[in-house]
Amino acid sequence: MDSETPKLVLVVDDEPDVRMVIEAALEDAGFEVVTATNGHEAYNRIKERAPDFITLDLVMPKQSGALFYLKLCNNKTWCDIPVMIVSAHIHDELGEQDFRQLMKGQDAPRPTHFMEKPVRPDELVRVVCNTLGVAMDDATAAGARDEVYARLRVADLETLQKVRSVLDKEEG
Amino acid sequence: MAPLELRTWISEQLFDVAPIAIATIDRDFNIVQANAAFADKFGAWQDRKCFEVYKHRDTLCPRCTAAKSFQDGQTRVTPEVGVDEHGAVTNYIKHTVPIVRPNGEIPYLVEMSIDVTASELLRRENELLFEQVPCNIALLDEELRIVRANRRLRQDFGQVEGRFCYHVFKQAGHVCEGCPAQRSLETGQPHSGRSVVKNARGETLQLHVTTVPVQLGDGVPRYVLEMAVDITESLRLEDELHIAHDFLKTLIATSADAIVGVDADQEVRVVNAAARSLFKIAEGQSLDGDQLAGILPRGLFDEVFSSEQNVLLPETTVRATDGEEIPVRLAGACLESGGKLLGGAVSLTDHRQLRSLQAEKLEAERLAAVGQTVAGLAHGVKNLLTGLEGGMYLMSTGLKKGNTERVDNGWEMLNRNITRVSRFVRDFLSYSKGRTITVEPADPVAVAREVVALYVARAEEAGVELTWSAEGEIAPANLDFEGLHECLTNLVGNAIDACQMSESEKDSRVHVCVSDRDGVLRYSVKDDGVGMDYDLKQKVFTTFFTTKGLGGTGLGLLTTRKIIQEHGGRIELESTPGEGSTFTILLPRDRLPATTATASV
Repeated sequence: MDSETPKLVLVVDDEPDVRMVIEAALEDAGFEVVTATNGHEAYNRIKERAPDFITLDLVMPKQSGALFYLKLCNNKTWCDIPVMIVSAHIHDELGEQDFRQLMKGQDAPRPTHFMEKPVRPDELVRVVCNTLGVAMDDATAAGARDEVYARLRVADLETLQKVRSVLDKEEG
Repeated sequence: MAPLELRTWISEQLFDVAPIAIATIDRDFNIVQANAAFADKFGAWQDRKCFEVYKHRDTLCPRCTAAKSFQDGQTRVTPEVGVDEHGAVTNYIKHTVPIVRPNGEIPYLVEMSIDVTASELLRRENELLFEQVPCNIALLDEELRIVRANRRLRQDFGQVEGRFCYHVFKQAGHVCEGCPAQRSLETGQPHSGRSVVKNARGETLQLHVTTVPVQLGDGVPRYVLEMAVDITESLRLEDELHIAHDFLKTLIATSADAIVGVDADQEVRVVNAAARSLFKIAEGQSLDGDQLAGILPRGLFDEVFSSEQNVLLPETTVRATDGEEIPVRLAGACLESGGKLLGGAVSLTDHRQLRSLQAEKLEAERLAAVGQTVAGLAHGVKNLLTGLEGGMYLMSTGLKKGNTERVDNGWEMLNRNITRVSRFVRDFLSYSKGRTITVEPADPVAVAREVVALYVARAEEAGVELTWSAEGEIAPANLDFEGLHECLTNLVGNAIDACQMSESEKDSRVHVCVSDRDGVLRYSVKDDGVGMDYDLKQKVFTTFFTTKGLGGTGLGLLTTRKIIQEHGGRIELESTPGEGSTFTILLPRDRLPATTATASV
């Protein structure tokens, strides 16, 4: 992490479990995190301090995600904040319509990213880092280890063999 | 030569005692002598002219027969019409006999008058009858030639006298087969038969012919009187009646509805095929009054006969002869004609198929709902996965970083979500399997009362005023009390939560109302809480949507909807964001399940 003030990420989701996990992952990566349970609260948070990134759930009570997003895009000050849609409903009848509508980009610029729940915390953090031009905190071994573990979990045999040979080289 | 006494009596007394009016007139038409019978008939005659006395005239009669006989000395017999002593018209036959002297002079005429008034009247009567009766009469001779025909016959057939009857009526050249006139001539007895003839206008007529032989003293029928009545019209009406009768009979027989008809004494007269099938009455088996009372609602026909209007029972039960109860739609009507009671009829529509169709429809609706919820299942499962994976993530990163708080959080998340999974599975299984509802007549108001009583304290804690009311008299209904209790509990709970979520400062209100209008039982749960926007309203019933975050499985509303569906009803939602929501349960009474039937849907 560079010496700038930590970047602020606003996590908007009505599910407390989701907020907790994303918050933990982002904090581990060195971000500052504020949360909101609905679009209304989210707006209040933005007013308090404009975040550098927003993760947004689509289906929520009290101002659904899509409505909040539209509102955001129409706001001159905040329309440029990158938004990642994080939703369980991208492919089902609940969120599909909203999602497709959003992705058409007719009413508002397309959201920067989307991710389907269940969210993989590392993936999410990676996207945030990449978008904000922040290198992931891999200075600490723990961070590196986390990252490597995560990637190893899904690596194929060929990659695994390559890694083994690299490690062998290191040791040797 | 007659004996002297007789000759003397004849010359002295005969004139006076003869029962015929006899008068002698001279050449000046004076009546010079008349007998007692004459005086009785025509009254005083002395010094009076004959035309005065016979005819009450002042002058000589125009065609005076006496004048002629005075002239030519001929005897004449003429029918006369005169006036008797009382001024009444009298018909008589007058024999005018001149007394001729040897030298040819005719000094006097003897007029003998035989009264034929009575027979004249009779003759006239017969004439009238013959001419005027509304049937054709012909007098035929032995050769079946028409001797005399009445006016009607002449009108229908033209000039017929002298022609053979078979020629006139049948345009045939010979006697008809089985001719009743011929038979009457042969047997001397009256005969009758049917005949088809063509009249002078070419119209075909159907006649009923009666022939009566006329004997003239020697016992041999010389003439036959043929009387023919035109029955064309009545035959036509008979045909029409037959057709109408057959039409109705077929209509009743082939009707899909069961029809039972009774007469004014409630004796069964009609049981159509559909009725036999419905009530299981065998062909040929009759239905007596007792049996009838056993299968139809009690006192039905009494009701039908006494009421002004027809009786209609849209949903009732009748019993077949083997005791099976059958749901039907029953219509009873009074049959009358011209104010007179003829009987009654009841028509029944078998509702068994309708019921089974309704059950099928309910089942289809349930499956459709399940189908919809399967789609929403993904969301529920994803949430749980998120929780589980998230918990694991927290725990593992926490352990690595030595962050005990995080480890605890992760552990708690895991635990909680595992509990949620099992609860979810249980709820969903029970939801999709189909609950068997137990239906009994229940007081609909009691459900509302109990639920409110249960929640009123909790509501108060949450700053919510919970009330209930019932609109008017609510009749009992077939309900699964527990199921409905669960539904109302769910709705009231949601309403209270909605109020809590609302941002308004004032005390919120939740009101439960029970009503019964237009045959639909209604429960409405109205809150002035947070309300729902369009998105939410769309999703509320179709998914495992829950605003309760941690605790709810999201199945509450879906289960509620299912229970309502099992009652044949539906649930509706009205909501305005920021103002509140009203959930209304609608239970049409005619779709409620039957009592004690464990409708496994």
